Amino acid sequence: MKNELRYLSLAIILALGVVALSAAYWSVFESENIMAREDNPRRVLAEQQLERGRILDRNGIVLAEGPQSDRHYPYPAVGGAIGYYDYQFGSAGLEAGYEDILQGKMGDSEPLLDLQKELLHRPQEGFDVRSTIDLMVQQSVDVFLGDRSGVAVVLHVPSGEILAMVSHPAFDPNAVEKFLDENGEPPDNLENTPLFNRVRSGGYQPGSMMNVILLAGLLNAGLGFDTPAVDGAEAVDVRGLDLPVEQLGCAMPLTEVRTLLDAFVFGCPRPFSAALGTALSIETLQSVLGSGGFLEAAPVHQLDTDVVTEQTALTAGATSDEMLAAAIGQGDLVINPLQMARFMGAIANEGNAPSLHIANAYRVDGEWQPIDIPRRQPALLRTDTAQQLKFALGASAELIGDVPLDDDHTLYGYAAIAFAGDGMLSWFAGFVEMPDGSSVVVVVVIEDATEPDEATEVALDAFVAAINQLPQETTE
Amino acid sequence: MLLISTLFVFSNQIALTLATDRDWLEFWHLGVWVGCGVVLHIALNYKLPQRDPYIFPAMFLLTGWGLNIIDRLQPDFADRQAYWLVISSAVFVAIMFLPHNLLWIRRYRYTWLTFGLFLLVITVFLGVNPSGSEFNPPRLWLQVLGNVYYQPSELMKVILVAFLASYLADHWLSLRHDLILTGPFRLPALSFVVPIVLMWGLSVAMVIWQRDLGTATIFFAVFLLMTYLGSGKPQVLVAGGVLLVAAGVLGYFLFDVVALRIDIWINPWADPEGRAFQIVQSLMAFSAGGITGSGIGQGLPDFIPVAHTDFVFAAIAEEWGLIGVVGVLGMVMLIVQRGFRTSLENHHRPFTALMAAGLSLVIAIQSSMIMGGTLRLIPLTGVTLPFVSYGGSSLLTGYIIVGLLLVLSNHEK
Repeated sequence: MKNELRYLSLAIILALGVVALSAAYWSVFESENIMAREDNPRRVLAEQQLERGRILDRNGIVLAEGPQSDRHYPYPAVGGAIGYYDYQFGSAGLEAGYEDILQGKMGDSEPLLDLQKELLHRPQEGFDVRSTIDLMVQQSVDVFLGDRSGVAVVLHVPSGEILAMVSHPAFDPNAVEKFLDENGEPPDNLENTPLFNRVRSGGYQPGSMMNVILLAGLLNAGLGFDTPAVDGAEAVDVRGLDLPVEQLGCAMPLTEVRTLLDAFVFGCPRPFSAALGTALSIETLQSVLGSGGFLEAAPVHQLDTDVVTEQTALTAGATSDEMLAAAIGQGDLVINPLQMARFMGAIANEGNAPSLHIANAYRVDGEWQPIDIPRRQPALLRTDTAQQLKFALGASAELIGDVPLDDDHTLYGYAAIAFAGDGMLSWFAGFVEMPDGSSVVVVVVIEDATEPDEATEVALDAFVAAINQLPQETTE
Repeated sequence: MLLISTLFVFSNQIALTLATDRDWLEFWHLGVWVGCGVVLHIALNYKLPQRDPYIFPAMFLLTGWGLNIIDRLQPDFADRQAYWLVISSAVFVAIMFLPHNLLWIRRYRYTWLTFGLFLLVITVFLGVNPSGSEFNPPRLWLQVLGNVYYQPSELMKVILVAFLASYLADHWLSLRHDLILTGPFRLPALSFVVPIVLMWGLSVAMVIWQRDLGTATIFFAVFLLMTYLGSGKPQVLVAGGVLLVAAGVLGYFLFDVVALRIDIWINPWADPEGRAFQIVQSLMAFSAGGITGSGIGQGLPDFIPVAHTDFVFAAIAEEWGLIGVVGVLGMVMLIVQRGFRTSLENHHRPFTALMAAGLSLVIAIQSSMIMGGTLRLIPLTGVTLPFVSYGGSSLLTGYIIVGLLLVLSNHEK
């Protein structure tokens, strides 16, 4: 029996050895795969318990706080700026873009503290993120837009910091779960809900705002402001339809529009549409659109470039009607408000694009660490073109009455209108030069506007709000 | 080793208390454990001074570790387990005081087996399920007193080993030498085979009747391996293996519960949140534990249904990691190998050798079955991890087995 006992003893050792090897397989080699499974309740619970970092505004006011299972937004008006996080719904905006930092998965921290937390199995803690949003500006602009549908974006140049980003209709980030469909899933078509961020993802027909882009093209082509504008205020014939100049934003009597600058300042499209194919070739215009950043989504650091509306560029094969429609901003070409804000920022910044970002620091162990924002951005315009455009925008802004700014702050801007379906879009894009040499850019688009200057009114209020919030420094 | 065990178990309890903000007075079940350990150690030194020195400390450690994890998973059940520890220790001491030649088992094997079968039969009619939550649950327990229930099939494991050891030892020579040529095979005489197969068959039939397939499998494996030890014929293992596979195939088509167990064994990921939830959660517990584990009270083994009984091994894997798994395996292996050593050193005394080997086999087979099941090495069978899982009947049986093993190991000196 001795042999049989030895065999059995050996077999038992082997059997328990196989058990040990199998345990090692699941515990070590297969661990990562198993833990990553979406149906692993441990993963789900760990994510719920994760102490997500807070989001603060540029002055330290808490905009978002609480663990992932119970995220809270004290100021619902910030939804359009920082997005949302909901355990079921997912995340968007800044909450999504800086997810790794907010969840503590990225960023330098104290190795000893990390080891201690790991040993004690403390829930993972995220890092606070300081956004560039100014709560006061954001809330003010939200109030200025009121019940109207539209967008407003406020940008600081040259820093590229986004001070406010409002998209109406707005949503309450504390209650995004109400947009879940009947299966408890996020809806397929977010663009049909207020969750759709019009600032980052919306596309609007530019209408007479197209004049700014066309003027850049003409200036690039060597034309000067004093170039005679023949029949400057004549009607524009688009697809067999004579559009009265008043409807396209031309604000002056025919006799007053004598030069290219007049046509631009008064918003008269005829000289610009007439220049197409002559002074301004399709290729040149295409180049201006491309280099001006209008054929791609405006890059915002760490935020998805999820422009939904396709950008349709002009092509050499376009018919004359299509080109004409595009030239007066009523064609297939649509412009995103952030693209226009970036372009305005470039004009204010001698042609260089500002590096758009919505967060600039994160806090580790009580110390703020800067977020690495790439400062080098492409030039959207030649320096001389930018300076000429700035002059033209200044001339245009002089027509705006009751500007609530003092002499230290100079306004440059352009008001425009466009037609979208049965409604009118009211546009404003411009900037105010600050005493310290920096600028505040504001772009506003109001849908179904009843008055052409609705966007301008909102923009002026936004300028005042931003100027009051920013530190007042003068250049020595 | 006893002191190290005590330090380990108390450290666990302190960590659990800190991790879960428990009341420090909720330690009393560990006081019972230490008290039982001291009494048993003194009694062993008095009655079995020549015993194997490793088996008792290994069992003691596993019992304390079991109390830790039961307290962590189901605090109320830790108290009940402590009551059963007192009962088990009392029976353990009683075994020490009975004649060490174990003639009281050997001579009365049919009486013991009849008693065991009688308990199984009345369980068929009077059996209850203390949890009672599941629809039509197996009724494997007899109500002894108030809230005290006992599972007769647990005791039957010891009785079956004793019966087989006694019978095979008494027929030792005829089993090895008086073989009849039947066709191409040399088989034992029918007069030898019939009683043993009949009694074993009855036992197995009773537990299958009660839908206790895990225990039935243990009975079958113990019978097979002890017959192999007794006969020295590896053909027994081959035939048994073929029969086991045939039974599995037959069971797959005849019994839904067998089909279910095999289906989820083959592919648990097909229905991870339904029928395979338990095994999938078990594997996730192993993965979550990694090498060092999450620490007691800091993992999530509560996701595994009835983790405190059948899946206590997975719970240990999650909170003590691979290190804990190897620790439990090491203790089980120590008990089994020391039991086999006792058997080997008594190979000239067939009853002692077969008894020691059979008792060790029960521990080895049952542990391998449940550990292999939780790791998806084999289909799941609802049996406990000896000494560690919650279950009074299981603990009592484990203590009887170790008590007998220690008597046998003392006898060999």
